[in-house]
Amino acid sequence: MIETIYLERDVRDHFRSRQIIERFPDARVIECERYGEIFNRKAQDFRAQKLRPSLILAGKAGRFVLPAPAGYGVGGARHYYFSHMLNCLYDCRYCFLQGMYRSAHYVLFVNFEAFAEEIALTSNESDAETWFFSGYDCDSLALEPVTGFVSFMLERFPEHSKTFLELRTKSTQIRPLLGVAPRSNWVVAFSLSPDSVARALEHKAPSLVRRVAAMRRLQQAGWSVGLRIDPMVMYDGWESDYREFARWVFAQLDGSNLHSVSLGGFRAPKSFFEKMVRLYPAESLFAGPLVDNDGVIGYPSPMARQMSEFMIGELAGYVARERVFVCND
Amino acid sequence: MARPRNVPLCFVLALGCEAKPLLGEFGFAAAGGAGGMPVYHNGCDWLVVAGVGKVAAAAATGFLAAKAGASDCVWLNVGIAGSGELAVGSCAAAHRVQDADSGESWYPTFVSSVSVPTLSLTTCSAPQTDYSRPGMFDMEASGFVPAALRFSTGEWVHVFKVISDNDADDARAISAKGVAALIAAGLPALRQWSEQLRQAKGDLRDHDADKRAGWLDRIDSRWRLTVYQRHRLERLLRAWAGRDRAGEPPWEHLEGIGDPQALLDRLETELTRLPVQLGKPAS
Repeated sequence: MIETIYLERDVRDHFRSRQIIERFPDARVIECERYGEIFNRKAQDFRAQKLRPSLILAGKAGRFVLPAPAGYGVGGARHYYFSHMLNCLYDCRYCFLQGMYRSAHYVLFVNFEAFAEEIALTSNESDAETWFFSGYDCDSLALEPVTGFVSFMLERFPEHSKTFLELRTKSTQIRPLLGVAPRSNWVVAFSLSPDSVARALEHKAPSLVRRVAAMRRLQQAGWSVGLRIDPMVMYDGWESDYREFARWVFAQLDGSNLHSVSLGGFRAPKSFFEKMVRLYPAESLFAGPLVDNDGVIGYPSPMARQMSEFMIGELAGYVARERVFVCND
Repeated sequence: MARPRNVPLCFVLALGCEAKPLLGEFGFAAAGGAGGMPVYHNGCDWLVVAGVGKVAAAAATGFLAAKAGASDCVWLNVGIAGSGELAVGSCAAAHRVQDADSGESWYPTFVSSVSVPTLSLTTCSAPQTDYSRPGMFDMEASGFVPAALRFSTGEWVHVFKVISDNDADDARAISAKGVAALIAAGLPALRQWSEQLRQAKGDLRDHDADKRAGWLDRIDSRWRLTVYQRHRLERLLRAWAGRDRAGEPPWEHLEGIGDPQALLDRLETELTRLPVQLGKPAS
């Protein structure tokens, strides 16, 4: 699966680097000084690299935990995100990473301990409820068998009642979670779309059926599970698809036991969107009724509101309204 | 310039004796040249003989890019190299190209299978006879790669070398005839890899581009648009192609309109009447 591994000189002898390289005995290992020599340099084609992404093993420096973008929260006072990885195994056509990065290679920062230390420090700065989000620049679980990051965090993430972790994912790699007692301050949040949207736009991601099966197993094991219906996509017949989607999902899951649902229409910063269109000019998603909302390309506000309200209505019989969050920023 | 049906391969080689086997293999014919850099063409692919050294390689790459007029090419530097790691006659691709003088490195990205080993390649300003260092040595690649990256991206700029000298076989013993024979022996591997690259790049082409270009030509022949209006038109035509994959813009509603602004407004109105269909499911 991984044919090329770039290895930063500083982490050449890191035990985690060695473990990961051993998993890919046939991969060519190419040493570099800094991952920036390869990742995000000029003259790269994200779409071509998606054919065979390489793995870059690097050490992260600087800030490990950053304030979360507006609209990322699901309650709580303080919101931060962190990215032990850059880029994603999946190839969702709406994903902003396509517009944000020039490279599709996966960067894995192997110094997990530094993430744990800064999370603990940030958590201790305040008595307020604090959320940490994983899965902004990558999928939290998709590469777990290789990275072991979640297994690491199960041992190191603070167990305070005021400190929460959200793992955002489309992956079914839930084995490390099922192998331990559920953490009361963790939420495993799955991004879901109607089957028609998943098939058309969420390339290489597990099917809706498999994702919901993973959610169900976690719920049954006592884990707190969240649902992210973001982005919602407008197309001919969207209402009936999203209605059927809600009906089907909540026939599988216990809605009353769901931590939260967040939803929002497709949107992307204008500069990212323009790059995404250049990558996939024939993509029908980008031919939709999109407008420039102060530098963010998305559906016109009334349409986005209509979509959110429609979905809130469809969720009404399954999930308490106070657990539903709308993110259209 | 109309886009060739196949993705063109653009070969940059230092020596005529390196080029000779490729001329026959790919059916190249002379196609001019300048400054001692002969150019060859076969109706799709291009080849330039640059001369020795990284400056010559960079100049020839720029010259060929201008001559070929193509931004949609696969670029390949082909030639001989020294190496203490491989036997003479072995073929290898470069996974890292480093300039010995500046220390700067480039990392060609492999998006298709490579049937030959890949090694680091150091480009030196003078021939090397110290084979104790790892990787390969040549005199052109660090000129070729950054020059080619001005016209393409790192997935489509590659270096293919045939080992001509090592500890056992000194570089000073190489003859032009011997070089041609080494390159000729490497042609099957080169042909296979270059065709895979051509195929991979072709698969990623924007297959609607020619259709949209035809629509633009039709509108350009009838209306004079400002730059701003043209950007809007391009956006509308792209959206049209995205919504109506098999269809054409509503020419019957547009032909009678004189004012470009009214033309664009009408096209936008007609566009909003088209339903948005989700794309093809992922295979």
